[in-house]
Amino acid sequence: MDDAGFIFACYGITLAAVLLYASALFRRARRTGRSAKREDLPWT
Amino acid sequence: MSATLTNAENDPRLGTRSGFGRWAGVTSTGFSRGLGIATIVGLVWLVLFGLVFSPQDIVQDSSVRILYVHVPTAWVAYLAFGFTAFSSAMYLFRKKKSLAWDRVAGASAEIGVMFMGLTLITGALWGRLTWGVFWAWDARLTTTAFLFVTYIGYLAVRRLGGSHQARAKRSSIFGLLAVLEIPLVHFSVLLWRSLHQEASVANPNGDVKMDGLMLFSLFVGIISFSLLYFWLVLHRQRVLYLEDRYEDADLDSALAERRSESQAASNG
Amino acid sequence: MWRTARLVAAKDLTIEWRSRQVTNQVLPFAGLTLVLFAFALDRDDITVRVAPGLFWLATTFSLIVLVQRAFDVETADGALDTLRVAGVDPAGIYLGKALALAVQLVVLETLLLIGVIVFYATNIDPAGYVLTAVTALVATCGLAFVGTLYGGLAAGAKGRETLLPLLLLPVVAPVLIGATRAFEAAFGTDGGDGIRSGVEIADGWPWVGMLAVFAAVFGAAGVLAFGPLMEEA
Repeated sequence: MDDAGFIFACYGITLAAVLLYASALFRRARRTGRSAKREDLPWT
Repeated sequence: MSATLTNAENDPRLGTRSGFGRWAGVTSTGFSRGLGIATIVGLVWLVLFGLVFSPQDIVQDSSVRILYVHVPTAWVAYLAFGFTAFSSAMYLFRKKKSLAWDRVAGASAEIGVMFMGLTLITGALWGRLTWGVFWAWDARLTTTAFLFVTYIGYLAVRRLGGSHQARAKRSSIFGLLAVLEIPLVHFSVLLWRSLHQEASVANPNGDVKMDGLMLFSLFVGIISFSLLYFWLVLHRQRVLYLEDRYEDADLDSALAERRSESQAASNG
Repeated sequence: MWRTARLVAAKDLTIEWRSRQVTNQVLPFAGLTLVLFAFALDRDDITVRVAPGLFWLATTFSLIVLVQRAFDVETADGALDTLRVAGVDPAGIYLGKALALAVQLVVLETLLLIGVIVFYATNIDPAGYVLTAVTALVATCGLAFVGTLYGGLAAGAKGRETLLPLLLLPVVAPVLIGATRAFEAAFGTDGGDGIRSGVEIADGWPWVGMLAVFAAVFGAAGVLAFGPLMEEA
């Protein structure tokens, strides 16, 4: 692997990890918040 | 919970909204959306500056581009762990124990572990390009690896179970113990490595000199990753709140069911 | 608090004396690790040089087993809860258990030392005897304090068998580093070719100082944190 490969790997892995984490997070939010009423939540 | 037929758009239950409502997200608020947009903009800037606009380093060629990602991830990891420690103390040392601090501590630790892992990976790749080695046993790297493992342990402690308060107390104590360990480990590793002053191929302490556009790219990276960190922690601790609530509701309904069963049994 | 500590330590050691679990199982385990190291490393000149490190590795692994045992004893019949409910000073419980653990560790280390001398053909320079003994004592205090604290944290929880190594091993890294360096200085081991390793005995004492700091820090942390940890349901 040459320089460019390493560099793109770094950017790619980082961004992919963040995206995967965020999407998993939102999926979990939808699942656990399914029955929540908007008014009940402390951030709304 | 009874299934009532409501107009999907007016249904106050969040998971069932349709149309744009579905994208609104359970844990989103106006502030978090704004933060998210700022983060995305920042990250796009980083990619542009890091990969395209900034020049090649004279000494290190292109590999310096990795630093525009590596340094920010390291910064976020340390920030995250520091904030976990702070939140642990906030939970433990106040008269009225607020579980919110515990949730923030947990969220921050989880994100810290992720970014620490990314730091180790990007660092290894950078080291391979620049110095030819993936790893070196110097004080800084060793302490970093140590931090990584310690906070994985912290996350495991959080999953030990029990009531939310029990989890909070255990985790906050462990979080503060971790803060105690880190200087001890760092100091002993520092002393240890200072015994081995042989010239090594890799000198991880040789900091890269940056100026102008390169420094700006780094700056963009640090700012945008900081925004990213806050955005992630915000959402993660909200989801933790939802998870706790979900768990409690589960328990409550299970208890209620049992109670009504036994009522029916004694009446029947 | 000290009286409680003495009583708790006596209780733990009596339990051990009656059941002989440590002597019958943990000590052989420790000896086994020494033998396995020899198999893995394969070269006599290397094992001599790394004997201090192998000693402390064996001790560290055995520590995990000892701590598991120390708290399984308590949680088996809810003994710890009983003590707590009875209003016994938790700091006393902590110090007592740490003391019992330390005694078991000292016994273990004595035997490991003999094992290292025998198996690895290590010759300890007589001038280094004091350093060896002091190092072992101070390191043991640190290990006992840290082990009892983290053992208490994981006590009774599901999955604690796998959690404890994960928590304990990173924390004891300073002890591993410091005690090994001190032993290297104390042993004056030559590299199997008659040349001293180059480490003077005086070099070992700073490491002992670091070990003392470690023990003090975790001893204090344990006394403070053990109570709150025991409180939660």
